[in-house]
Amino acid sequence: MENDKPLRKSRDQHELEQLIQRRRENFKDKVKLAIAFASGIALFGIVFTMLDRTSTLGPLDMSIWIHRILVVCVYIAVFYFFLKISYKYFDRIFFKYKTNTWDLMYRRFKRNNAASVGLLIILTLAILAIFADLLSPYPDPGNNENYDPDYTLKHLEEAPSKTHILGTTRNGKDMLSVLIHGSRVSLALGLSVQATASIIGITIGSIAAYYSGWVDKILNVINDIVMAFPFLLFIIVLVSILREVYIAVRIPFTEIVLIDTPTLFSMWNGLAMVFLALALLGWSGTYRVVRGQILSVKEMEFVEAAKAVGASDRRIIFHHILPNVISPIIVLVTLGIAGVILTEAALSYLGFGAAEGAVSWGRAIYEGREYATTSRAFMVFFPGLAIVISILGFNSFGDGLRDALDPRMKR
Amino acid sequence: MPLIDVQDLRTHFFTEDGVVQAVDRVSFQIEPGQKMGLVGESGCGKSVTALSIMRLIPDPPGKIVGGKILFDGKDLVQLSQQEMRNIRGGSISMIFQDPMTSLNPVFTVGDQIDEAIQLHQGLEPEEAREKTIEILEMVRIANPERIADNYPHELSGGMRQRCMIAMALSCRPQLLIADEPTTALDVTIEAQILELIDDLNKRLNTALLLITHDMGVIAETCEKVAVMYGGNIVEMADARTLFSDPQHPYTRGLLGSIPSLAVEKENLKIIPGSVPDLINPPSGCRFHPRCTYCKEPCKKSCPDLVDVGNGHYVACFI
Amino acid sequence: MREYVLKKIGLMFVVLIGVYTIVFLLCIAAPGDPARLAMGRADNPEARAILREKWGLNEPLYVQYYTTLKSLVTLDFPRSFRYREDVGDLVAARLPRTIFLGVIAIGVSVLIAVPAGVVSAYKHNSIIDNITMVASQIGVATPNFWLGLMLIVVFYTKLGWFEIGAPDALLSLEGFSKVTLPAITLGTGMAAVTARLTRSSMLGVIREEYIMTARAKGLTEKVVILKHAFRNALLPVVTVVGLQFPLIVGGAVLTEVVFGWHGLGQLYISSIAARDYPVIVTTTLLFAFGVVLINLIVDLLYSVIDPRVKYERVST
Repeated sequence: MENDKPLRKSRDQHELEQLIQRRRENFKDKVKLAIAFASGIALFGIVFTMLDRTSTLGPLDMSIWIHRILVVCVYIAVFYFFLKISYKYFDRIFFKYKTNTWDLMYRRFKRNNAASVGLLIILTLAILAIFADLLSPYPDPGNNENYDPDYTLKHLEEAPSKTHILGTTRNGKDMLSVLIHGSRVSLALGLSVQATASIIGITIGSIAAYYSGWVDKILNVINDIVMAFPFLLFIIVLVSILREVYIAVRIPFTEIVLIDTPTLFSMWNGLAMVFLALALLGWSGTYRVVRGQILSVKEMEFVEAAKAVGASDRRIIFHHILPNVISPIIVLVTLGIAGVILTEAALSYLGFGAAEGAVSWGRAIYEGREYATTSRAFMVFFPGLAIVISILGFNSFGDGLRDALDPRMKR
Repeated sequence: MPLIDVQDLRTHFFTEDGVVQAVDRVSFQIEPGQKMGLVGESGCGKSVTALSIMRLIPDPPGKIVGGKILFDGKDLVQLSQQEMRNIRGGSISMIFQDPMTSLNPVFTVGDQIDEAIQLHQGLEPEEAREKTIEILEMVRIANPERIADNYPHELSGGMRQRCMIAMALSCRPQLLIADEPTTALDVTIEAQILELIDDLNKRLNTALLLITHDMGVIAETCEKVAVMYGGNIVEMADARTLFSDPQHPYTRGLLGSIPSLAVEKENLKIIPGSVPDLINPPSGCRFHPRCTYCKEPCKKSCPDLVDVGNGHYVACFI
Repeated sequence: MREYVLKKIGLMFVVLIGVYTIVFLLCIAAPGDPARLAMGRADNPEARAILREKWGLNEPLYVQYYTTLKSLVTLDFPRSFRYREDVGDLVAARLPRTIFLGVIAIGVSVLIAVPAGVVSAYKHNSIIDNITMVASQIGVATPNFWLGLMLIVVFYTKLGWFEIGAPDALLSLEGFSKVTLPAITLGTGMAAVTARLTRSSMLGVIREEYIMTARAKGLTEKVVILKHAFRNALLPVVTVVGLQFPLIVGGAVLTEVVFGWHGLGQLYISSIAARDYPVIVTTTLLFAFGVVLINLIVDLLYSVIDPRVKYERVST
């Protein structure tokens, strides 16, 4: 504004120094990123070598692996640029309107590189899940009709090779296809469990916070009991019991059965059980957060102010309280999906989750678990890697969301 | 021989959005035992000046980029961290605005004062505790033995601030810097604390640098006053002269905006405009966009402090 | 203070009774006759009936509820269905192993994570900070059992640096060699979370005013960080460590299964499959008891660390 006067020399100098400093830092950041990436790949290579030294790394195969890694890198680069470009368009859309809280949050999120990578991973998973049939090299492993029994019997438990990029499973199915189709299970299970658990948690939490007093105390004790139970253990017990007990939900006065436990169990090859167990028990976290948020917001002065101005209860709840409550819940849900994936894997590993024939990452580890000490550790390595990457993605994204939504953090 | 001589101090903060020139060519002196006040709006650089003297500016992003601070024959800007640490709390002490957040909540006040004494005077714990009780008595706390074993949250605001003062003065420093010591307290307590500070200044001959935005506090306590705006000192004089005959337009504006109980129903006078952006400060005199007497030379270059007689300095071309 | 502790202990018992009831109901509701499962091939109705009689399974439910409860409270443990032993003995044989594993895992992870967190907070955005952050992200994302399997592959199968299995003597060379990999597996997740939490807590504390006061007193950075900042940052860390305990228990079960570590967790899993009620009930209660106890200890520790916590609180 008043800057069209002759600038003082010292300010010039400072601006120049500043610019140089900024460029240097940018460059340093990029170098750091490159180093991290390279060391990640190197680490991966080392572990990979240790897993099996004999079968795969002959000279011919090495070039295949390089080729594959290149493909992956190109994919990541393309996708990343795509994200950057879409950010630019989002910018235009957002800046059309007045700067409000959403805009600030969005900008904070964009700055967070890890969160963008997380978003990338999640989008990849989503694409894989939705277009699984198109993208996987072999047809759906869950559906046995797709496979020629002769072929599968000949190719049991193969190490990675030209035809089966990640090897084959115990049943002769292609590992890569298993992983791709498994992503469906992970995503679907994660989303549905979290959705249900959140709804339960929000409801109960709101009730507890709203009707404080002995209702609150009772609900708290119930929550304590649920939390004192080691989570995994409880689910194991529940699942193993529901597996065998027969409960049927009937339309009253008729013989028509809506749903009963054997059917429930066989749905999705046992995963429906997992869904139920996780959803019914996972509301603890949401409950606490919702209750805490509502309680603290209730006491805040702006609620009093709103009441003093004559706002109705409903307006207070929807306009003032809910926005404060929603943000942490969104974060919890995102991070919770990661938790669901982990728990499903753990359950399947112990044999209590997905049943025979289900296509899930946990199940793949279960089927491969005897081979961990042998030279076929691949069967365990790849599904686990898939799990690690997806959880990293969800966690980074969730953290980025949390940082963006919390106005107090200055990082 | 002034106790402390700040010459041409410049402190900048290097941030993502640009370089904040928080303190720009600030110079003043304090004699031993003298009480000086530093006055100005929020954001004018008073706290940064104080922190610069203590060398407590957080290094990224801030840095003292120029000037000298002569104390006891040494230039504080050039000292090593170790030497600076000996001075902090020992020769120069500082107290802060909100005693609730300035005292560590998990230690008793006695322990915190003991710590300072043990550090600078090398005493055993029992001897240090004796000294602590002594200084607590001096800040007029009844029952010092009992209070020393209390935690900060168990004391009232006034008592906490007294404990802060006790902690700062426990090693008999030569200069006490008080950054808005009474802003967080209510008025009656404020009066007590100010009186206490006055009393201690006389008894211990500790010089005082009082930083505040409250002109009333300055008028009551200080012998010498400097007015800061936008990182510069714009006027400096002894208290009486400043209040009776302010020269700088900004000072006049400040004093003029104090509502008077005498005249009824007057509109509050304000200084139009708002505080300058210290990343891109206005060229020339930093006050010129808001100044009613602004002329051409004001926009071009920044005025230095000029002696208009009697130790009264003004930085203005008028 | 005393009322607070008593109240908490009372609450603890309520929770335990609740847990017991739920477990009891679950066991009852579960079909699968322990007698039949125990007999296996040599199954015949009369033998089954005898067994059921012996095990008191034919009594009405409330009687069973009461008897089992009484025996647990008086520590006169019933006998396991599967093994011919007193559940008490079974547990006593296995509990030390599980505790050993748990203690080493928690100890090592805390010893690594907390300093890492403090250093990361102090040297914010430096190399150490970034490495810690990335490492903890990966640590959280890795499934416990998968990590165990991978560790087995690398360190046992390929390199042969450590051993696997259940040691006879815990505090021996053999014991430590066998406990290392499981402890690393179990401790990783917890270390990751603790490190991040310590870091963020320290970051928050370092910004507080009283840290500035401490510096203004002339204290060295080391003292400022380690004494003044750390004590304050410890609070949320302690809480979360306490909260992590149920997860540790779950993780211990998995880890024991992966490594063949004959501890309580392994016993638990196999008992569920065999419907060995006494063992199930006792072990579950034991786990729940451990969790509640840890929570109580955490609560009490809280009041030691932070003098602001009053025992007679108005809210909560």
